[in-house]
Amino acid sequence: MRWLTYTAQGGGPASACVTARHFWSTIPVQLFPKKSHNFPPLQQVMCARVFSCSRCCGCYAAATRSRISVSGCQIIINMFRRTLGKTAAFVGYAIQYGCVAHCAFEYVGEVVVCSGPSMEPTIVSDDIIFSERVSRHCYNIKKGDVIIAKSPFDPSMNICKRVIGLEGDKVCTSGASDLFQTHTYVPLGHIWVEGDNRQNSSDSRSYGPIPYALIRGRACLKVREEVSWQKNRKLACIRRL
Amino acid sequence: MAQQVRTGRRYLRAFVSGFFVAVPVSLTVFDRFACVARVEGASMQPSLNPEAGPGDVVLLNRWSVRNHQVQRGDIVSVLSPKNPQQKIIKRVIGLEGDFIRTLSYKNRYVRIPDGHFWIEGDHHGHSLDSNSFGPVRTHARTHVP
Repeated sequence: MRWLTYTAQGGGPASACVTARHFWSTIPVQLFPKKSHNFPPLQQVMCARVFSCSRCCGCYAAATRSRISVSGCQIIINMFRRTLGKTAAFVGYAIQYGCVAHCAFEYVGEVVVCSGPSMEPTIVSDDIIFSERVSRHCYNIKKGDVIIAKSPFDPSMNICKRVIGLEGDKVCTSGASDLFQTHTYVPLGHIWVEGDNRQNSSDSRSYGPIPYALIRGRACLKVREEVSWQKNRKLACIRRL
Repeated sequence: MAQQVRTGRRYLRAFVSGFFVAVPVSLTVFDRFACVARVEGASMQPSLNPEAGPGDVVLLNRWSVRNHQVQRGDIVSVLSPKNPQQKIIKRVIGLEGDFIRTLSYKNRYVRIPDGHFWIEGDHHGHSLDSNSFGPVRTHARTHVP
Protein backbone atom coordinates (compact mmCIF):
# COMPACT_ATOMS: atom_id res chain seq x y z
CA MET A 1 0.00 0.00 0.00
CA ARG A 2 1.53 3.20 -1.11
CA TRP A 3 0.41 6.56 0.05
CA LEU A 4 0.70 9.18 -2.48
CA THR A 5 3.27 11.83 -2.55
CA TYR A 6 1.49 14.77 -3.88
CA THR A 7 2.45 18.36 -4.00
CA ALA A 8 -0.37 20.80 -3.57
CA GLN A 9 -0.79 22.78 -6.67
CA GLY A 10 -3.17 25.47 -7.77
CA GLY A 11 -3.95 26.84 -4.38
CA GLY A 12 -5.87 24.06 -2.71
CA PRO A 13 -4.00 22.37 0.11
CA ALA A 14 -3.92 18.66 -0.37
CA SER A 15 -3.79 18.09 3.35
CA ALA A 16 -7.29 19.44 3.68
CA CYS A 17 -8.39 16.53 1.61
CA VAL A 18 -6.41 14.05 3.56
CA THR A 19 -7.57 15.11 6.97
CA ALA A 20 -11.16 14.46 6.18
CA ARG A 21 -12.58 11.02 6.54
CA HIS A 22 -11.40 9.37 3.39
CA PHE A 23 -12.08 6.16 1.67
CA TRP A 24 -10.27 4.46 -1.09
CA SER A 25 -11.11 1.94 -3.63
CA THR A 26 -9.26 0.24 -6.38
CA ILE A 27 -10.22 2.43 -9.29
CA PRO A 28 -7.21 4.31 -10.53
CA VAL A 29 -8.13 7.94 -10.40
CA GLN A 30 -6.09 11.01 -9.80
CA LEU A 31 -6.13 13.07 -6.70
CA PHE A 32 -7.54 16.53 -6.74
CA PRO A 33 -7.06 19.32 -4.28
CA LYS A 34 -10.30 20.08 -2.58
CA LYS A 35 -10.77 23.79 -2.86
CA SER A 36 -9.72 24.58 -6.36
CA HIS A 37 -10.96 22.22 -8.96
CA ASN A 38 -7.87 22.58 -11.04
CA PHE A 39 -6.74 19.28 -12.31
CA PRO A 40 -3.08 18.74 -11.69
CA PRO A 41 -0.89 17.72 -14.57
CA LEU A 42 -0.50 14.01 -15.01
CA GLN A 43 3.15 13.70 -14.28
CA GLN A 44 2.62 14.92 -10.76
CA VAL A 45 0.04 12.34 -9.92
CA MET A 46 1.56 9.18 -8.59
CA CYS A 47 -1.42 7.53 -7.10
CA ALA A 48 -3.15 4.41 -8.10
CA ARG A 49 -6.06 4.69 -5.79
CA VAL A 50 -9.01 6.82 -5.39
CA PHE A 51 -8.15 9.22 -2.69
CA SER A 52 -11.06 11.40 -1.96
CA CYS A 53 -12.90 12.69 1.04
CA SER A 54 -16.54 12.75 1.79
CA ARG A 55 -16.71 16.47 1.20
CA CYS A 56 -14.98 16.19 -2.10
CA CYS A 57 -17.59 14.16 -3.90
CA GLY A 58 -17.72 16.76 -6.64
CA CYS A 59 -14.09 16.23 -7.41
CA TYR A 60 -14.50 12.54 -7.26
CA ALA A 61 -17.48 12.50 -9.57
CA ALA A 62 -15.80 14.79 -12.02
CA ALA A 63 -12.71 12.70 -11.98
CA THR A 64 -14.48 9.45 -12.52
CA ARG A 65 -16.60 10.87 -15.27
CA SER A 66 -13.67 11.81 -17.38
CA ARG A 67 -10.08 10.93 -16.93
CA ILE A 68 -8.92 14.42 -17.44
CA SER A 69 -5.43 15.32 -18.25
CA VAL A 70 -5.47 19.03 -18.49
CA SER A 71 -2.35 20.75 -19.61
CA GLY A 72 -0.73 23.44 -17.49
CA CYS A 73 -1.59 26.08 -20.04
CA GLN A 74 -5.29 25.50 -19.57
CA ILE A 75 -4.93 25.69 -15.82
CA ILE A 76 -3.33 29.06 -16.12
CA ILE A 77 -6.08 30.17 -18.49
CA ASN A 78 -8.72 28.98 -16.04
CA MET A 79 -7.06 30.76 -13.17
CA PHE A 80 -6.76 33.91 -15.22
CA ARG A 81 -10.40 33.72 -16.21
CA ARG A 82 -11.51 33.25 -12.63
CA THR A 83 -9.36 36.12 -11.39
CA LEU A 84 -10.68 38.32 -14.16
CA GLY A 85 -14.26 37.43 -13.30
CA LYS A 86 -13.72 38.18 -9.64
CA THR A 87 -12.06 41.49 -10.44
CA ALA A 88 -14.88 42.49 -12.76
CA ALA A 89 -17.47 41.62 -10.16
CA PHE A 90 -15.57 43.59 -7.52
CA VAL A 91 -15.27 46.63 -9.77
CA GLY A 92 -18.96 46.44 -10.63
CA TYR A 93 -19.98 46.31 -7.01
CA ALA A 94 -17.58 49.12 -6.16
CA ILE A 95 -19.07 51.34 -8.86
CA GLN A 96 -22.59 50.51 -7.81
CA TYR A 97 -22.07 51.20 -4.13
CA GLY A 98 -20.04 54.30 -4.93
CA CYS A 99 -22.92 55.65 -6.96
CA VAL A 100 -25.40 54.84 -4.20
CA ALA A 101 -23.16 56.59 -1.68
CA HIS A 102 -22.80 59.62 -3.94
CA CYS A 103 -26.56 59.88 -4.34
CA ALA A 104 -27.07 59.54 -0.60
CA PHE A 105 -24.53 62.29 0.13
CA GLU A 106 -25.82 64.49 -2.65
CA TYR A 107 -29.56 64.23 -2.17
CA VAL A 108 -30.24 62.93 1.34
CA GLY A 109 -27.67 64.24 3.74
CA GLU A 110 -24.14 64.13 4.99
CA VAL A 111 -22.20 64.28 8.22
CA VAL A 112 -19.93 67.25 8.76
CA VAL A 113 -17.53 68.19 11.52
CA CYS A 114 -17.66 71.85 12.43
CA SER A 115 -14.69 73.85 13.57
CA GLY A 116 -14.36 77.43 14.61
CA PRO A 117 -16.06 79.69 17.13
CA SER A 118 -18.54 81.56 14.95
CA MET A 119 -21.64 79.55 16.02
CA GLU A 120 -20.47 79.27 19.60
CA PRO A 121 -23.51 78.76 21.88
CA THR A 122 -25.27 76.46 19.43
CA ILE A 123 -22.42 74.61 17.84
CA VAL A 124 -19.04 74.51 19.48
CA SER A 125 -15.87 73.46 17.75
CA ASP A 126 -15.55 69.78 16.81
CA ASP A 127 -19.27 69.18 16.95
CA ILE A 128 -20.55 66.60 14.53
CA ILE A 129 -23.59 67.66 12.56
CA PHE A 130 -25.91 65.83 10.20
CA SER A 131 -26.98 68.14 7.41
CA GLU A 132 -29.88 67.12 5.25
CA ARG A 133 -30.06 68.30 1.68
CA VAL A 134 -33.68 67.63 0.85
CA SER A 135 -34.88 71.05 1.97
CA ARG A 136 -32.24 72.74 -0.15
CA HIS A 137 -33.41 70.85 -3.23
CA CYS A 138 -37.03 71.66 -2.38
CA TYR A 139 -36.24 75.36 -1.76
CA ASN A 140 -37.52 74.94 1.77
CA ILE A 141 -34.94 76.97 3.71
CA LYS A 142 -36.59 79.13 6.36
CA LYS A 143 -35.44 81.90 8.63
CA GLY A 144 -33.69 80.59 11.71
CA ASP A 145 -32.31 77.47 10.08
CA VAL A 146 -28.66 76.66 10.51
CA ILE A 147 -27.22 76.00 7.08
CA ILE A 148 -23.99 74.65 5.67
CA ALA A 149 -22.94 76.73 2.66
CA LYS A 150 -19.90 77.10 0.48
CA SER A 151 -17.67 79.97 1.38
CA PRO A 152 -18.09 82.78 -1.16
CA PHE A 153 -14.35 83.37 -1.32
CA ASP A 154 -12.98 79.86 -1.32
CA PRO A 155 -15.22 77.30 -3.01
CA SER A 156 -13.41 74.42 -1.33
CA MET A 157 -14.35 75.66 2.15
CA ASN A 158 -17.72 75.40 3.84
CA ILE A 159 -19.28 77.75 6.34
CA CYS A 160 -21.96 77.05 8.92
CA LYS A 161 -24.24 79.99 9.74
CA ARG A 162 -27.80 80.82 10.70
CA VAL A 163 -30.19 82.24 8.12
CA ILE A 164 -31.31 85.69 9.25
CA GLY A 165 -33.11 86.97 6.18
CA LEU A 166 -34.47 85.59 2.95
CA GLU A 167 -34.83 87.45 -0.33
CA GLY A 168 -36.69 90.73 -0.01
CA ASP A 169 -36.19 91.03 3.75
CA LYS A 170 -34.86 94.12 5.42
CA VAL A 171 -31.87 93.29 7.59
CA CYS A 172 -29.74 95.29 9.95
CA THR A 173 -26.14 95.44 8.82
CA SER A 174 -24.61 97.34 11.69
CA GLY A 175 -23.11 95.85 14.80
CA ALA A 176 -24.77 96.00 18.20
CA SER A 177 -22.49 98.75 19.50
CA ASP A 178 -22.76 101.02 16.48
CA LEU A 179 -24.34 104.37 17.03
CA PHE A 180 -26.39 104.44 13.85
CA GLN A 181 -28.17 101.41 12.59
CA THR A 182 -27.92 100.73 8.89
CA HIS A 183 -30.36 98.58 7.01
CA THR A 184 -30.33 96.91 3.65
CA TYR A 185 -32.60 94.73 1.58
CA VAL A 186 -31.61 91.20 0.63
CA PRO A 187 -31.67 90.94 -3.19
CA LEU A 188 -33.56 88.30 -5.13
CA GLY A 189 -32.18 84.80 -4.96
CA HIS A 190 -29.91 85.59 -2.01
CA ILE A 191 -29.99 84.95 1.72
CA TRP A 192 -28.49 86.81 4.65
CA VAL A 193 -26.51 84.61 7.04
CA GLU A 194 -24.93 85.44 10.38
CA GLY A 195 -23.11 83.47 13.01
CA ASP A 196 -24.60 83.13 16.46
CA ASN A 197 -21.40 84.45 17.97
CA ARG A 198 -21.78 87.91 16.52
CA GLN A 199 -18.56 89.30 17.97
CA ASN A 200 -16.41 86.63 16.40
CA SER A 201 -17.92 85.73 13.09
CA SER A 202 -17.27 86.74 9.51
CA ASP A 203 -20.62 86.54 7.82
CA SER A 204 -22.96 88.52 5.60
CA ARG A 205 -22.19 91.68 7.57
CA SER A 206 -18.72 91.60 6.06
CA TYR A 207 -19.29 90.04 2.65
CA GLY A 208 -22.92 90.76 1.94
CA PRO A 209 -25.73 88.40 1.09
CA ILE A 210 -24.80 85.04 -0.39
CA PRO A 211 -26.65 83.46 -3.33
CA TYR A 212 -28.95 80.55 -2.77
CA ALA A 213 -26.85 78.35 -5.05
CA LEU A 214 -24.08 78.23 -2.47
CA ILE A 215 -26.22 76.45 0.14
CA ARG A 216 -25.25 72.85 0.63
CA GLY A 217 -27.69 71.71 3.26
CA ARG A 218 -29.58 72.43 6.47
CA ALA A 219 -28.12 71.21 9.73
CA CYS A 220 -30.79 69.19 11.45
CA LEU A 221 -29.13 66.92 14.00
CA LYS A 222 -26.20 67.46 16.26
CA VAL A 223 -24.03 64.85 17.92
CA ARG A 224 -22.29 66.18 21.00
CA GLU A 225 -19.34 64.61 22.69
CA GLU A 226 -21.67 62.85 25.11
CA VAL A 227 -23.67 61.60 22.10
CA SER A 228 -26.84 63.50 22.79
CA TRP A 229 -29.06 63.91 19.78
CA GLN A 230 -30.84 67.19 19.81
CA LYS A 231 -33.09 68.72 17.27
CA ASN A 232 -31.49 71.87 16.08
CA ARG A 233 -34.75 73.75 15.73
CA LYS A 234 -35.73 72.83 19.24
CA LEU A 235 -32.36 74.06 20.39
CA ALA A 236 -32.92 77.32 18.57
CA CYS A 237 -36.27 77.74 20.33
CA ILE A 238 -34.67 77.15 23.69
CA ARG A 239 -32.00 79.64 22.86
CA ARG A 240 -34.52 82.27 21.94
CA LEU A 241 -36.34 81.75 25.23
CA MET B 1 -52.27 30.99 -11.88
CA ALA B 2 -49.41 30.19 -9.56
CA GLN B 3 -47.12 30.19 -12.57
CA GLN B 4 -48.27 33.69 -13.48
CA VAL B 5 -47.75 34.94 -9.97
CA ARG B 6 -44.26 33.51 -9.93
CA THR B 7 -43.39 35.08 -13.27
CA GLY B 8 -44.79 38.40 -12.15
CA ARG B 9 -42.81 38.26 -8.97
CA ARG B 10 -39.65 37.47 -10.89
CA TYR B 11 -40.21 40.39 -13.24
CA LEU B 12 -40.87 42.68 -10.29
CA ARG B 13 -37.69 41.58 -8.61
CA ALA B 14 -35.68 42.08 -11.78
CA PHE B 15 -37.21 45.52 -12.23
CA VAL B 16 -36.47 46.59 -8.66
CA SER B 17 -32.88 45.40 -8.76
CA GLY B 18 -32.30 47.08 -12.12
CA PHE B 19 -33.92 50.23 -10.83
CA PHE B 20 -31.67 50.40 -7.81
CA VAL B 21 -28.63 50.02 -10.01
CA ALA B 22 -29.62 52.30 -12.86
CA VAL B 23 -30.92 55.32 -10.98
CA PRO B 24 -27.89 55.94 -8.72
CA VAL B 25 -25.45 55.23 -11.51
CA SER B 26 -27.13 57.60 -13.95
CA LEU B 27 -27.54 60.31 -11.30
CA THR B 28 -23.87 60.04 -10.42
CA VAL B 29 -22.84 60.22 -14.06
CA PHE B 30 -25.02 63.29 -14.62
CA ASP B 31 -23.70 64.93 -11.48
CA ARG B 32 -20.04 64.15 -11.82
CA PHE B 33 -19.14 63.57 -15.44
CA ALA B 34 -21.45 65.01 -18.04
CA CYS B 35 -25.01 65.95 -18.69
CA VAL B 36 -26.99 67.16 -21.65
CA ALA B 37 -28.96 70.40 -21.71
CA ARG B 38 -30.89 72.46 -24.18
CA VAL B 39 -30.12 76.14 -24.66
CA GLU B 40 -32.95 78.62 -24.88
CA GLY B 41 -32.83 82.30 -25.59
CA ALA B 42 -30.67 84.58 -27.68
CA SER B 43 -28.08 85.67 -25.13
CA MET B 44 -25.25 83.55 -26.54
CA GLN B 45 -25.73 84.34 -30.23
CA PRO B 46 -23.89 83.69 -32.50
CA SER B 47 -22.03 80.82 -30.81
CA LEU B 48 -25.15 79.11 -29.46
CA ASN B 49 -28.61 79.31 -30.97
CA PRO B 50 -27.47 81.12 -34.16
CA GLU B 51 -30.99 81.32 -35.50
CA ALA B 52 -34.38 81.14 -33.93
CA GLY B 53 -36.05 77.78 -33.67
CA PRO B 54 -35.39 74.79 -31.46
CA GLY B 55 -32.49 75.46 -29.14
CA ASP B 56 -29.03 73.95 -29.40
CA VAL B 57 -28.29 70.89 -27.34
CA VAL B 58 -25.04 71.10 -25.37
CA LEU B 59 -23.06 68.60 -23.38
CA LEU B 60 -22.04 70.01 -20.01
CA ASN B 61 -18.69 68.61 -19.00
CA ARG B 62 -18.78 68.51 -15.23
CA TRP B 63 -15.60 66.54 -14.71
CA SER B 64 -13.32 69.37 -15.81
CA VAL B 65 -14.69 71.83 -13.24
CA ARG B 66 -14.46 69.58 -10.21
CA ASN B 67 -11.65 71.78 -8.85
CA HIS B 68 -13.49 75.00 -9.72
CA GLN B 69 -10.87 75.90 -12.30
CA VAL B 70 -12.15 77.69 -15.37
CA GLN B 71 -10.28 79.74 -17.95
CA ARG B 72 -11.18 82.98 -19.64
CA GLY B 73 -13.21 82.30 -22.74
CA ASP B 74 -14.84 79.14 -21.47
CA ILE B 75 -18.57 78.85 -21.77
CA VAL B 76 -19.99 77.95 -18.38
CA SER B 77 -23.40 77.13 -17.04
CA VAL B 78 -24.19 78.47 -13.58
CA LEU B 79 -27.20 78.71 -11.33
CA SER B 80 -28.65 82.15 -11.78
CA PRO B 81 -28.02 84.41 -8.77
CA LYS B 82 -31.40 86.06 -9.29
CA ASN B 83 -33.42 82.89 -9.41
CA PRO B 84 -31.78 79.73 -8.10
CA GLN B 85 -34.20 77.50 -9.98
CA GLN B 86 -32.84 78.75 -13.28
CA LYS B 87 -29.58 77.91 -14.97
CA ILE B 88 -27.84 80.35 -17.26
CA ILE B 89 -25.12 79.75 -19.82
CA LYS B 90 -22.55 82.47 -20.43
CA ARG B 91 -18.92 83.06 -21.37
CA VAL B 92 -16.25 83.70 -18.75
CA ILE B 93 -14.66 87.12 -19.22
CA GLY B 94 -12.57 87.57 -16.11
CA LEU B 95 -11.34 85.47 -13.24
CA GLU B 96 -10.67 86.43 -9.64
CA GLY B 97 -8.31 89.36 -9.26
CA ASP B 98 -8.86 90.73 -12.76
CA PHE B 99 -9.75 94.31 -13.51
CA ILE B 100 -12.73 94.54 -15.82
CA ARG B 101 -14.10 97.50 -17.74
CA THR B 102 -17.80 96.89 -17.54
CA LEU B 103 -20.42 97.66 -20.15
CA SER B 104 -23.37 98.75 -18.06
CA TYR B 105 -22.57 97.89 -14.44
CA LYS B 106 -22.91 100.49 -11.73
CA ASN B 107 -19.13 100.87 -11.50
CA ARG B 108 -17.12 101.54 -14.64
CA TYR B 109 -14.13 99.50 -13.51
CA VAL B 110 -14.44 96.48 -11.26
CA ARG B 111 -11.90 94.30 -9.52
CA ILE B 112 -13.29 90.80 -9.27
CA PRO B 113 -13.10 89.49 -5.69
CA ASP B 114 -11.68 86.11 -4.73
CA GLY B 115 -13.80 83.11 -5.58
CA HIS B 116 -15.81 85.02 -8.16
CA PHE B 117 -15.68 85.46 -11.90
CA TRP B 118 -17.23 87.73 -14.47
CA ILE B 119 -19.53 86.23 -17.08
CA GLU B 120 -21.15 87.86 -20.07
CA GLY B 121 -23.31 86.68 -22.90
CA ASP B 122 -21.91 86.87 -26.41
CA HIS B 123 -24.88 88.90 -27.56
CA HIS B 124 -24.20 92.19 -25.81
CA GLY B 125 -27.27 94.09 -24.82
CA HIS B 126 -29.57 91.09 -25.09
CA SER B 127 -28.11 89.20 -22.23
CA LEU B 128 -28.73 89.20 -18.50
CA ASP B 129 -25.22 88.73 -17.16
CA SER B 130 -22.64 90.08 -14.75
CA ASN B 131 -23.29 93.56 -16.14
CA SER B 132 -26.58 93.45 -14.30
CA PHE B 133 -25.87 91.29 -11.27
CA GLY B 134 -22.15 91.67 -10.72
CA PRO B 135 -19.54 88.96 -10.42
CA VAL B 136 -20.86 85.47 -9.70
CA ARG B 137 -19.59 82.93 -7.23
CA THR B 138 -17.71 79.92 -8.45
CA HIS B 139 -20.38 77.32 -8.76
CA ALA B 140 -19.99 76.44 -12.35
CA ARG B 141 -19.75 73.80 -14.97
CA THR B 142 -18.01 74.17 -18.28
CA HIS B 143 -19.36 72.55 -21.35
CA VAL B 144 -18.37 71.29 -24.76
CA PRO B 145 -20.95 72.08 -27.39
